[in-house]
Amino acid sequence: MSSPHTTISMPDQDLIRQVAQRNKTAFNSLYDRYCQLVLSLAWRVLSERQEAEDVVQEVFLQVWREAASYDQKRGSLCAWITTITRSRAIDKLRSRKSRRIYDPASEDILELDEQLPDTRILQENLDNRILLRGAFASLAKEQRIAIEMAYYEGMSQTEIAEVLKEPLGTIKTRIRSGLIKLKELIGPSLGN
Amino acid sequence: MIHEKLQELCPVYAAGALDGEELRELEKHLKSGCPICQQQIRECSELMAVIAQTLPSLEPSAGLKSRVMAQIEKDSPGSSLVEFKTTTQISGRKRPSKALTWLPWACALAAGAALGVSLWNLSNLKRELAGAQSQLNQQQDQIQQIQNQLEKEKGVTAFLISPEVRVTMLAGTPKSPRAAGKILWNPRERKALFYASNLPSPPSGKTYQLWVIAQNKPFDAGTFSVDASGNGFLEIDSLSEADKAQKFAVTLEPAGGVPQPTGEMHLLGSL
Ligand SMILES: [Zn+2]
Repeated sequence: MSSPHTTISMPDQDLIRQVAQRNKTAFNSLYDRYCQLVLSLAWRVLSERQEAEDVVQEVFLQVWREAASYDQKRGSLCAWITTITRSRAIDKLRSRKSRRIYDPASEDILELDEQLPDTRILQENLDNRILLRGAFASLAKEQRIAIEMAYYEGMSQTEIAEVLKEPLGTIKTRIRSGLIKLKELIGPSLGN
Repeated sequence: MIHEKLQELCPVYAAGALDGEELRELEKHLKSGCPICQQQIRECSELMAVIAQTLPSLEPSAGLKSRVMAQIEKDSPGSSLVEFKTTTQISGRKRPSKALTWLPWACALAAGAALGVSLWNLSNLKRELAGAQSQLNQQQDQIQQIQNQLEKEKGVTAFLISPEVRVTMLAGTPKSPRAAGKILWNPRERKALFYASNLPSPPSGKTYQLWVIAQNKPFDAGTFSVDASGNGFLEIDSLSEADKAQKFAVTLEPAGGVPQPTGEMHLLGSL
């Protein structure tokens, strides 16, 4: 067995490879690395702790079972786990009888606005959550709302267009331009 | 639908909002294997993961981890458990999708650093064989040792003893002066083994990417990660432009790799 110490600092690609080989120490480290992200995302979608923790269990069981099918050519481990989490959480949300109505003025968004860092910090501080949060917060509010409604509420472009009373093409453009802007913001800073 | 339109749907798809006829059309198009749209969706999915990372965190309740671990225990039939004796052994790439011919090779890679050294030795020996037979005798013990190691790994042996296999060394650029790399490649079969050492560990969201430079143009040869000591391996089933290669280079790129190099160069080697 590899010692916990060696798996803690191990790059994602090596870690998942070991998980695929049924290494529980590696799985333990992978859980520690991604538990918070999985839980926060599931909680954001479901707004209910018990259900969010159920999603955590489901996601990690799926990761354990399907680790061998993960292919790094198709994206980072983080993106893979995020996609699994989002899809499981949205499934749960949809299985509820009534759905929460999205409120664009919810606290999450207001909170983001307050955390906008200045550009100096953006350049100096790489790869931390505050930076990413700041980058996302600096998108136009309409762009953020469209992306959040899609990603966290599981709403389709048509549903978003209906709720916001905007043309379908506008919603598409908001999502697309939001992601392009985000890529511009974090792309260069991650490279330093 | 014209391609430009399909491409514009990719971010909407990655955000999970595409529906109706557009969703069906894009999915059909993706099944056809369009690398441009696949790359775009890959990039956008990375961005969605970035967005998820900006969420406020919630402390997991006390029993959550043990519930997850208990689930894993229950899910592991004892018979399918693999015992790992060393940490280096585990870094092998066991990918069921890989062709069988590569499996022995992949297993050989599992020996990690130790094997890296032996591959190094073997190729040195090959050069010496060509130059001076007498020197080879002095290293008889070493050869024996290496042969014992490789006998189990027919794939590696077959690959390395082929007279067609070429070796190109890569040197660290001013960006990574301590780094070194080496690629063993067969221009005809297009298979290759790349080995790098002393690369700085990439910032999260970044990965190293190997390029073949042929006719002054870079061609993607795959991405690889490095361990804590900066060592990385990459096995390549089908090396682009292998017969026309002039140089090999390694750059630092966004996770998942990019179609054309955009980042700093860390290793470079010419034939
Ligand atoms: Zn396409």
